[in-house]
Amino acid sequence: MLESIEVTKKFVGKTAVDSATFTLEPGHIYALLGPNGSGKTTWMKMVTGLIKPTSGYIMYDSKPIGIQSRKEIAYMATEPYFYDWMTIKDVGKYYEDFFEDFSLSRFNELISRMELSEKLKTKNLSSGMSAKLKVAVTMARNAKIYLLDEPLNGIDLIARDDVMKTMLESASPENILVISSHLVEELESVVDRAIFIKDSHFAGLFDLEELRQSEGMSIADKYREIFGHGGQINA
Amino acid sequence: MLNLLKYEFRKSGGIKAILLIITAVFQIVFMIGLFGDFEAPMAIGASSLMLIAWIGIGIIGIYSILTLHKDMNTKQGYMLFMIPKDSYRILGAKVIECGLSIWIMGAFFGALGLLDLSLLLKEFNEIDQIFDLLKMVIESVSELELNAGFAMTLVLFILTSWLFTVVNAYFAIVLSASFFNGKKFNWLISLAIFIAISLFISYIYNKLPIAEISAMKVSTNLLSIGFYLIPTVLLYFITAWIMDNKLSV
Repeated sequence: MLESIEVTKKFVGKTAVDSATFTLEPGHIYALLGPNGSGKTTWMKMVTGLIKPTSGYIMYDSKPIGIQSRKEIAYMATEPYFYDWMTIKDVGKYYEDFFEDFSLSRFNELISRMELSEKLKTKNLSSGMSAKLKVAVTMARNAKIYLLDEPLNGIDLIARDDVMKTMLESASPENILVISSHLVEELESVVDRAIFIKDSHFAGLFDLEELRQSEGMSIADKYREIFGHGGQINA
Repeated sequence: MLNLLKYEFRKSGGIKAILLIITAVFQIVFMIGLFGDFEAPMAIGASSLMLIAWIGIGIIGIYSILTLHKDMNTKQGYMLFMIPKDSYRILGAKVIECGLSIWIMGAFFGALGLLDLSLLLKEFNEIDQIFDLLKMVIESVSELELNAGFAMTLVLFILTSWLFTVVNAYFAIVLSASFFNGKKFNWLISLAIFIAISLFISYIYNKLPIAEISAMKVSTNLLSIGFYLIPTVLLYFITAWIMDNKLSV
């Protein structure tokens, strides 16, 4: 279980995340939704430990996040982040060296499926290839929590199907998947819960099935309600 | 820790290879001059080798500082800071890599210098006499006892004080990234902190009797090395603590 308790992050002149409190449970795939600059990426980076909260706590299995939790949380940043001297093979080796839950054979299988050559230098990859590599190396871990920040950015429709398939293959009753994306409709068939972040504030966590049954709304409808003009939220 | 070290060495592999290639070129120029009896190439080769030895060691330290700066300020830092290792190990790997590189390069250039000097002595006997005369003058004027042990500890002291400078720069960079990130002139604050600490340590050192040139000998050189290791270790622990508790990348 992952708990975000009154988590706030302030940068100079800006509050990126403001008192975000919600709980994520294993066995679910969450969409993390909100417009650009709403605080999604900052929240994910805080869970990963890359950014320290200004206040509040993030607990993983009732313990504050730290070195131990990094062993079990796989994060995929939206920007390319590999060392530019690395080849795709080096990236796999690097993850194998540092993450006990990383499977090199799974990684090789994924890059082969995504038609990536292991000899390619990461600095020469197109944005689509880079996105595929990020997904492959992240999903080759057998993590308890996957945080995927805009995994569908910059990739074409066919590659998108590959990426979606790869992400879903890793989902299990024991783990949590969090996917942030602007492509709300595309996530509809993949996720079963949605977290909305609006203007740095937590704006609601919804079970999609309940939403359909009780309010007759899709995730896209809810998105429009919350972020559309004059949208108000009753979390 | 070994994996971290491996990747730190890999990051600086390119610059070290360039330095070695340049050194090899100057060494070849020197050898051609020496064995072909061409004075100009010999002089150019020898002076360039001395220059590259000092500049090379400087470059290794500066490159290490730039690498940390890159890890703090670019997305590539995620590779380092999302792995399940605490900052004491992450920074420790950087300090060890830099320290080992500085000392190994120092030893390499020292050995190369001795080799070239012995080749010179073999070719020109009169150089031996010039060195003896030079040694005698220095010893009589400064009361220093010049021998191999003195030279080695002196070089080690210079390399250690350079390592302190590098770790001090690490501290300033991490401090700036942790507390002044996004603020105007944060690099200026960082530079001011770096200079202030350097001056402070240098001031204290110069107040000590071991800092006097006339007192320099093997034992005082060793004490000076010990003196500079203290703030180096202290700054390492403070920097790692800040990285663990305050740093956002």
